[in-house]
Amino acid sequence: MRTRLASTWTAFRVGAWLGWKTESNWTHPLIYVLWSMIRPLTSGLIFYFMLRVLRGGANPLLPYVFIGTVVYALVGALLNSMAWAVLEDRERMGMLKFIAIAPAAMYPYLWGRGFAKVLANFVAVPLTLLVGVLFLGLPIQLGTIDWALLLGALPLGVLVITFIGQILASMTLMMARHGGSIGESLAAALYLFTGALFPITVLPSWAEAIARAIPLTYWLECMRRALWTAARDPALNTGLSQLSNAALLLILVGSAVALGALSFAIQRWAEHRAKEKGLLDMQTSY
Amino acid sequence: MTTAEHSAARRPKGPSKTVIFVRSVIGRAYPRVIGLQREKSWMFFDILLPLLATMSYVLFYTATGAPNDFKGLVLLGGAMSAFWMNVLWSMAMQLYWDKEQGNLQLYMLAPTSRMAILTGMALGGLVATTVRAAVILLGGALLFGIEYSVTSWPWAIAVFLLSLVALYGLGMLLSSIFLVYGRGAWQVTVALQEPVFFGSGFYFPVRALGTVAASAASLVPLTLGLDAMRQLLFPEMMQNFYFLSVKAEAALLLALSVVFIAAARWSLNRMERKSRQDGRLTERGN
Repeated sequence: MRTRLASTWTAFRVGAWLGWKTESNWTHPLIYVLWSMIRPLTSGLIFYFMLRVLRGGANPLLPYVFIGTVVYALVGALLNSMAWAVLEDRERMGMLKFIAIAPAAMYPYLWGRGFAKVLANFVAVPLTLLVGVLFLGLPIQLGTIDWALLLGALPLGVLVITFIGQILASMTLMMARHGGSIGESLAAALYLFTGALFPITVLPSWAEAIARAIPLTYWLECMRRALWTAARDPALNTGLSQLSNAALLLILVGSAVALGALSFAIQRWAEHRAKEKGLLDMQTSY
Repeated sequence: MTTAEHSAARRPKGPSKTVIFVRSVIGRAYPRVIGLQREKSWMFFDILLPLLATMSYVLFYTATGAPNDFKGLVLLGGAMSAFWMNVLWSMAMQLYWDKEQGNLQLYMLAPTSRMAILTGMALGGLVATTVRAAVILLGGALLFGIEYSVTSWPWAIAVFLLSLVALYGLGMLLSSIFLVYGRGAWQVTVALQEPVFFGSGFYFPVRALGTVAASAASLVPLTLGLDAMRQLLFPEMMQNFYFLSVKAEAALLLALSVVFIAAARWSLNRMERKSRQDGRLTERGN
């Protein structure tokens, strides 16, 4: 058991170290952090201008969408990095097969790759929110932040996203490299169902049911409540206001456990299948 | 015998330059089209998920109570975003990716022009991208009941085609530049994705950014192409939001097409020479 834990830790550490190097050592760390801000910031600005075109002035939906879209950058980064790590190691570096035959498991290695990406976003996301506060009048104040909720929800959310990323990475083991990346496509599609941009009550009833089944919906609600005092304003009609903070955290804990077990099982199956079909050194350069 | 006659006499008989060019275009486009048929998962990741992503932008406008034309504006932006993604990931990045995989040296050895290979790449990529764009445009229109009131089909088709020619010209130019880059190319591509969605007004009329910013953003052909197509598809709404007249935008797109393709040709030769001199054509993992 002890040896297994040590081997898991080694695989995670190596994955994180390699992920950090491949992600960031092309430039200075400060430039890397600024570069990491580009995506969340421009996403937030898109919605700022969409609202500005419509109403011209301040809009009550701005804090809702800005916090949602900026925090959501973590989802995109994690999903993309884990799925992309498979493609990069398989097709660009040609080393996935070596990872597969190494004594350490692929599962914690991919975790490490994802973790490296999140690390940079832990700096970029707060900085982007700060830009929103300073230049767009976002109503976030240090004194009103619910730190307990924030510190409880953040790691739980990251855990949930990591498990989803792990499932996606497992599926990528059996797929070709398409134009962009499947992590990016999935993250973009989940925009629709997680209430990142608008309250889930805007969705048709069938889509709202899907939204309620996705743990990220509750995580984003937690993050909004932690950062923005008016997040529970009934006028927003989020459809989640009846849930207490504790209930939201409980849902996240349950989701993390369930997704963890699922991702582990899928990873084992997918890795076995990829070996069986000879896909670990597949090249899809069409 | 003159020098030209002498070299012509020494040249073995074979297909003309034009025939080689056309064959190369077909040869490079072929694997992209066939690859799509062999890997059906692209339909899910490249068509369905982007449709969902675009739907979330449409529903954001729904949440704000915007008129239907605004939703159409977003749909068009979502459809055209497919082309930008294709240009970035499957054109600009492709030679870099080919270099990493060892294909680039084969291209260099082949008795054909690199422009032919890039043109084939563009045409092959256009097949899947056009399907994706059409699904977003038509599927979204059906789902949200959006009507396009086209004022002039010939102009709409002309502007669309001009936008694509200029855009893929830009893709070829970027591709040649990325040929000499290391991993920085990758980061530049990521950095170009979202900011262009913002700067080119994919989800709101670009005039909202102000004349100076919109003019600067016009270097990306889709800025002008989107604005012109929106004027032709949603004339009533765009009366208040258009940036330049359709004719002016079409003329500028024509100019951009010529400039980008000429610049790509020049840059490709120059970068290829530089890569040969620096010994970077066969470089991997940097």
